[in-house]
Amino acid sequence: MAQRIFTKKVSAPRMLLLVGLAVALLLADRYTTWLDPARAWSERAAHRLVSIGNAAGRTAVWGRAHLAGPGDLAVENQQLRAEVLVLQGQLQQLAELSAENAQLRALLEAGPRARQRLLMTELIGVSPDPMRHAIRIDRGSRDGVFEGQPVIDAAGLMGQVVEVWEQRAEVLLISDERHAVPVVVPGTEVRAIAEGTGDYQRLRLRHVHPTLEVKNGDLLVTSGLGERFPAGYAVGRVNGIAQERGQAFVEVSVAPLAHLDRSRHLLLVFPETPPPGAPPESSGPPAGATAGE
Amino acid sequence: MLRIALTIAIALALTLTGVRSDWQFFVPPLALLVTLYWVLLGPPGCGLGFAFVVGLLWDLASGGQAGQYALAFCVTAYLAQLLEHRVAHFTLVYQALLAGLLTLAYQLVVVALGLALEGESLRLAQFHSIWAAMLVWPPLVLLLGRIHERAW
Repeated sequence: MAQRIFTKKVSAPRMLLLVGLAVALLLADRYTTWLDPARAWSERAAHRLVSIGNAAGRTAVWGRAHLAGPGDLAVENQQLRAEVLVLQGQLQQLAELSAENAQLRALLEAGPRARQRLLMTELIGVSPDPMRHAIRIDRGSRDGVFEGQPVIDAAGLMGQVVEVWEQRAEVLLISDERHAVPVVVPGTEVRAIAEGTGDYQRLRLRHVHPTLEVKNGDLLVTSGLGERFPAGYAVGRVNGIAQERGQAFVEVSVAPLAHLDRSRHLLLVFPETPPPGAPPESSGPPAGATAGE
Repeated sequence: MLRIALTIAIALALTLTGVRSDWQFFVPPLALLVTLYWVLLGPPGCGLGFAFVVGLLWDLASGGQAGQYALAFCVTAYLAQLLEHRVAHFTLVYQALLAGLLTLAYQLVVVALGLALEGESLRLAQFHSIWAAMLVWPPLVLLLGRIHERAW
């Protein structure tokens, strides 16, 4: 059998047989879980291949970190100190604001807002398929990562976890065509759904009524509706509004704030109450900073 | 055999490492080109079954649906086989044109499957890899030819 398949003879029936086999695999992968063990194995193998491919990049990073002269380090240190100072200043303001917010919510008899824990993670791979905006990160079920978990970077929302292995996970970015996130414009409270377009620099809001108050430069944050993404994380800024003649709705174009194609260090957002099916608290992330909204 | 496996592994690793952002569309399908080289000019064992296995490996490694690239690799390898006897007499330029045409056929299958299975929209940028494939083919043939003949 093997000799019949692994031969160079041109044969249409053999081609059709293999095409049939491929279609059977497609169907099996789509509708059954039979191929899951093979996937887990291949994911590990692919990770090793990627590590080999990334060796050059890692060496360069290591070289920069270890071979930098004292002068460079001093300059970098100074920059970082300045940055820390600015951030500490902003944090003080934030603490005051959240105290004020808590007081106001208490006055309105609204319950306290949920707080989230953050866990840092690093990018270890990018999907080679240009039509699939997905990345791999170095945290997995061992760290308490679960499917549907939001991922952010320093500037805004990156995406959500779609597949979890023991030590790694795959994150679908908000710019992927299959991704959508409920958003709101703070202030006017206009709600919409931000969909990916397959372009790293652009999201779109569809079915926005022309009478709604959306204008260029408006910030969009997650609305918390749908209970997948916590409310209040920055998603993007409106950078274009277009209405075609005869259309009832305008199409709003949004520039994502997160550096979807550049960020290497990301944060996983853990809700304080774990979602159903997530591992218990004790097996949660070993070290995570706590951040309130 | 080991050399063939090694070239395929390197091609897969390089494509998986890839580049980010929209330049991704200009990345040549290295795994496909290396497979086509072995199908067209390699030893007798490298035929449709070989292309199918490499496609399946690519499916599993890239995290897409199993069978999708296996199908595309298989169809492209079949088209290549139809021209196999003539290719050896082609100059590198004609071979590069042929590699471009085969990449076009491959992209058409991939795009059709993407449309049917994943509901992806059609983007012309997906066909930029054809130019990249044509550019990469001549040096790739020279390199793989040396590996093939152990001329190190």
